[in-house]
Amino acid sequence: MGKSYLSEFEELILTVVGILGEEAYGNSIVEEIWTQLSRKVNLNSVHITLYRLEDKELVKSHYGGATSARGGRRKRLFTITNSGLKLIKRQQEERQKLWSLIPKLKMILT
Amino acid sequence: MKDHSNQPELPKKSLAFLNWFCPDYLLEGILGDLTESYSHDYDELGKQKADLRFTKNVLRFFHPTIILKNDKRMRMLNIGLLKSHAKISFRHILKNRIHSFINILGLSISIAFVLLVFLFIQNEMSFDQFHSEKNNIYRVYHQRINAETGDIKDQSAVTAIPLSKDLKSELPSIQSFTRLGSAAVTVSNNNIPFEEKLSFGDADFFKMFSFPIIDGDDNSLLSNPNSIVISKEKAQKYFGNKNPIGETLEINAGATTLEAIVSGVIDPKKDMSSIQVDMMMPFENFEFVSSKDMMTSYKYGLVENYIQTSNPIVREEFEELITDAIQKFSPAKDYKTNLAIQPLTTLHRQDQILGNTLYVSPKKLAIMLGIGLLVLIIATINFVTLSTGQAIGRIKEMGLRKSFGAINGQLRSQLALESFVIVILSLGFGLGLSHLFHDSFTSLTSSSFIYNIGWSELGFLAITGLVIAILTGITQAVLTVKHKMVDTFQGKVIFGESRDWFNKSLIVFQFTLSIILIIAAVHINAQMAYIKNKDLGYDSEKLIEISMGNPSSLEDGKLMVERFRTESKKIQEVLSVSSSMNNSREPWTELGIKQMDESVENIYYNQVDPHYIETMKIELVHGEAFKTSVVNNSNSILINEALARHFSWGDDALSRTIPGAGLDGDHQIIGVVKDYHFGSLHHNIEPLMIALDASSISNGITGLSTYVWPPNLYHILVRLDAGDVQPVLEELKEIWSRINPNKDFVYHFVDQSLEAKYAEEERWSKVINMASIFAIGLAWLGLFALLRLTIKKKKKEIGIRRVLGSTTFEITSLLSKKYIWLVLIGVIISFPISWWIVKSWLETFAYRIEINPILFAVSSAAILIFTLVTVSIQSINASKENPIEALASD
Repeated sequence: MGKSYLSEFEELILTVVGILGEEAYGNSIVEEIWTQLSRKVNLNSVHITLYRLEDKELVKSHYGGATSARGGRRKRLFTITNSGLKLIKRQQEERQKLWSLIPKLKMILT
Repeated sequence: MKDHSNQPELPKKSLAFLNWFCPDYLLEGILGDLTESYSHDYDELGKQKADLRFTKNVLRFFHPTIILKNDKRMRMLNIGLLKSHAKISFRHILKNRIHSFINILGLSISIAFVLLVFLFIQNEMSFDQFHSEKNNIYRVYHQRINAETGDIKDQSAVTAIPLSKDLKSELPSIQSFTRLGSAAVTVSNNNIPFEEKLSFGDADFFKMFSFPIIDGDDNSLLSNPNSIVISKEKAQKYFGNKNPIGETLEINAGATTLEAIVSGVIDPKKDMSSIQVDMMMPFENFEFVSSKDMMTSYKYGLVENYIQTSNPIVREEFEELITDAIQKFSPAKDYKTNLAIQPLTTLHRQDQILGNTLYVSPKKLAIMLGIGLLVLIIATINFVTLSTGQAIGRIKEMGLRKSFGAINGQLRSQLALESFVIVILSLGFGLGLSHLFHDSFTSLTSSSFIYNIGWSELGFLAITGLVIAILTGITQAVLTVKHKMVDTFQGKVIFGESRDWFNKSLIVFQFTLSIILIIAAVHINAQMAYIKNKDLGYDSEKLIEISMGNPSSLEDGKLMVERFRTESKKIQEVLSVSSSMNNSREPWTELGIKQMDESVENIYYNQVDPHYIETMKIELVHGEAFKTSVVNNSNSILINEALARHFSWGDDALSRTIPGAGLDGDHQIIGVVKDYHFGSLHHNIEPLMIALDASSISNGITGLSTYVWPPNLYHILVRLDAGDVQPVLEELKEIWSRINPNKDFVYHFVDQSLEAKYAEEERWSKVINMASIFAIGLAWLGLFALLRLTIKKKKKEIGIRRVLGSTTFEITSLLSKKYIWLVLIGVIISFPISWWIVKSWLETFAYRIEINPILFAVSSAAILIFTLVTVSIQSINASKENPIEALASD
């Protein structure tokens, strides 16, 4: 797998999957993004991004944990793969590197 | 874990939608998440908002990333399965050759027919649509309205000559106008005379109407009084390949001979124009075929008046405006007229207000459309009943497929594809057939549309095919697929109630249509035969009419007749020779005679010579006919019985005179002739005066609605003896050209002219006959094939009955019983409908046959016998088979 890049949203979802560990599925991801970042995302975009990440083998999924609130349906739980972990790590480092190259600027508060 | 009974229920439709597009392997996870947030929303926001959010979310999931995931799993569009379906469809079509043949034959012929009807109607709709100013052009017509009752007494688009000219001078909103008149004239070039129809139009004619101008200066086509515009066909006829512009044609119109100079050549677009122009001269020349006073008089309806407005108008307001404006020219007390207008774009498709232009009766369009649809419906019903019948036969195949894991959708698409294949094949054949039938169809409908398949026609075909395929596909899919697998193996569903009921009603429907068609066709034929054999009141056989053109004066005409009589009487086969103002082909002169109380009596008028009664072989009821040996009084007139009846005269008609404000009673009625049909059999015989000279009544004439004027002798009548006609015709022609060296010899046999008058009805009765035969044949084919299927399925039953000792007759009657019932129901439904249809058609004839109950009975009996014979043949065949084979067949 060559050097691939993720979009901001993909990176966000991938990171949150990493954070949630064994409990990452559609709704929990939406909630986590809301509690951590106060950012509202749509369930469908989360799903779609997850499938895309799965196609890129950055996450993998399995079924588990049906509840009555889900009408007896199991959750599709996502976990981050090693290559996924590597990729966010690399992207993080690259960004750090770039960030350090920025001359010390003061944020202008207005 | 499975206990979610207290769960709120998800909105069904959104759920089904999600189920449909979402791949199975993702469904559980997605639906689970959605349900979770749904129950959350349900508790927080209530059912309504939760439902809404759920639906919104489902719609958001309808996203390419998710939908395209289906492709990998081959469910939304399964190419492999489609291939297999296609293969099986073709195998199936080949396996059931007879049924496929009946289906494809019926469907393709009906599709061909419907396509031709579509082309025909499209052509009729396209009439007059090519004029660029079409939305601002109107034809003015007049209505005479009974002041007391408000009934429309008569209405006609043949109006007075000065009408549109005066309207234009009065109303600034009229941008231009043109009259349109025509007359039969003799045209010669290099001394070869031809009889032609010459039209007359005003200078703006070719600016208002967009006939393509092939040759000549657009702006000065009709500006010179001597100029003549001819159609490209006439240019070819008279000048060949020579440039016709500036060439001269000699035109004999009445007493005048005009030297006309060709100023332009046009494309008359005869296949899409109500106004048919062969040759046209400036309108001022119309004086030579009418008379000077007619050119300014409002008394005579002679031409059509067209106006073009500068702006769009409101019709009702404009009609009031022109009616008011015209009172100045045509005072109400003389001739109370209401003026109204017809848009150019709708002239062609109405038969109420007529001028001299081509029109098509909307009734005919409706009949064509009706027949087309009828045939298509019958073919579709065949298709539906046969394919569902067959599908039922294949219910085991379906069961097997199901048990191997086929889902309902796959089976449905299999069946749908099969009907689709048949429809596609039929569309192809239908297109080919329509091309083959085009010529006979156009000659049958006397239409001249061009066979041109473009996008709209293909689109029409596609829609027709799609509708048939969808209808059939749905019916059979619904009727066959929804059975439980186990039932199919046990054969439980074969005689399913709902299917039986459905098929039965379709069969009854077909029987009903067939009986209606037969009854209608039989009555139409009977009426046509009645008209053909109706006693006309004179002898139309061996009677020749020779057109005299336009004699310059009555004296001239009389002289011409006299000379012709003397010469032709020398021929042995010529029994008598006479002459008449009116002929057998066109409507006769109708006079308006104003009464003392301002009302107007309409009386037909014919001017003849003394030999008329004898030559026509008209019977005399009272008095005497004109004398041929001595000089008649010029004030002698004959009347018909209808006139005596109209004025309620008893037997003393001879002592009466025709009432009228301007009539001084100078005329004398010398005899009453038996009513004879001088008009069409569609109408009653109207009051008629026959005179040698119009002078004794001319003062009473206050109105006129005809082209045939002034009173003169325009046609020679020759009564021939039995024998060979051709040599006599040659001699007559020779005499004619000796007397009139520069006039064409134009003749008609009266009986043939009369036939031509009813040719339209003849043609339509032919169309209806053919369509009926075809539709009934189709329905019968369907019944035949359906019976085959039924009996195939009942093979075992028949076998068992045979083994137990049933006779062939018993089995036949058992099978027939059901169909007899169906026919009887069809009979009951069809009677009132056909009675109504036949009645309304017959009412268009003044002389008509009665509706005949025997014809009803015979038609129904025919269908019944037809059905019985079909059932019998099939069941005899089935019962003749060895019952052991039938029983062992499973």
